[in-house]
Amino acid sequence: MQLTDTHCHIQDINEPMWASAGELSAEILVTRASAASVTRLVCVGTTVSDSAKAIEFVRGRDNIWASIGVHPHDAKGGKQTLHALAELVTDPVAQKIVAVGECGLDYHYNLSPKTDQIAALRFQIELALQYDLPLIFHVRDALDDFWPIFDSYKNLRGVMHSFTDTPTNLHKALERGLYIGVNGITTFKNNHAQQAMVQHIPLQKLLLETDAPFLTPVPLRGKVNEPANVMLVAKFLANLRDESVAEIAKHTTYNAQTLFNL
Amino acid sequence: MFQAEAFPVESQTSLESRAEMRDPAQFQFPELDQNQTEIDQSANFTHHGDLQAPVEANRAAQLATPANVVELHPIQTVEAPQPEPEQLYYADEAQMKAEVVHAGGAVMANRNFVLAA
Repeated sequence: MQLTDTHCHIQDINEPMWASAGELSAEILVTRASAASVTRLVCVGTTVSDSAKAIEFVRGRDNIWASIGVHPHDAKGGKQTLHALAELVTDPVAQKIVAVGECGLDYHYNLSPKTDQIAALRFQIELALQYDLPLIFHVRDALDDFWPIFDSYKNLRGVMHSFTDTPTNLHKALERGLYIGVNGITTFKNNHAQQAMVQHIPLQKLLLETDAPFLTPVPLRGKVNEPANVMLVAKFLANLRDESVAEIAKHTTYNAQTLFNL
Repeated sequence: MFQAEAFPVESQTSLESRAEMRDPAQFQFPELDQNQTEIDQSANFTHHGDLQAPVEANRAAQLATPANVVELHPIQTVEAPQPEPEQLYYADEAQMKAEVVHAGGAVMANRNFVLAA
């Protein structure tokens, strides 16, 4: 059995957000992931410097790839930041860049002005189209603005990362051919709406992720999340959806390989 | 491999009884009387008027009823019981803040944030 963590941030292993994990190295994380049958990882950048770090991190490491992007929280950097992101790409295949993102809109906090978020989203969509790469979308409380932007382009491919919205918006995402990323949020005990929603995701469109170091699944709350915990998400979904873990692993790995060309 | 046993064989009796059921000759279709199927426009439906009379009387009685006789009860809405907030554990405050910001509020609903000891 093989699983894929399609969304983690382990290139940031030396950043403060990993500090509570204690003595931990990237090698330990990768080894533990492999021991839990998580054999492929996509490291996702959230800023220009973080994306550069992701490219550097995946170099020379087998079965680990990078995605470059500017998170909507960090979209206030403007054109200069976005051009710097584009300049990171020289040869996507050689650099093992398999996607653009995480990019999108987040109106929950509005840590960047909406106009900057929209400009950054459009820039990154066009960057993805230029290199024929899929997109990793982060959208919170902003789907009414997101769909018209998405629909103004053709031939977009991608995933709605950490999708926690309504069945109606799930349907809209599926209609547009998007994959749906599911992580530890679904395992939270009182997340009944989310648990009802994920049962409607067809296996052919399901992707697994951790978003490590964030969103540690139950029962490991209180610890730092890591790619090995994709197995916990897979097991939870298998039980919830009355499917076997093997079946979920087979489909989600195939989906990840198809979308990201892993 | 084909297994004939998988298909139950019907008894001759049941086949015969089914054949009988399908035989139109076994059913007695009443002969249609063309004259009876057509609406007799000349008929005088006096009962129609008889039915209408009490309806009109009832309406008149309703209209005559003083408005203050009818007591309207306000609609009682019952709120669904809110489940107990979930305890969402964090290793430390830095981890809690980082996750809440990164996830954009997706972890906020009905949860208490608790720092693990």
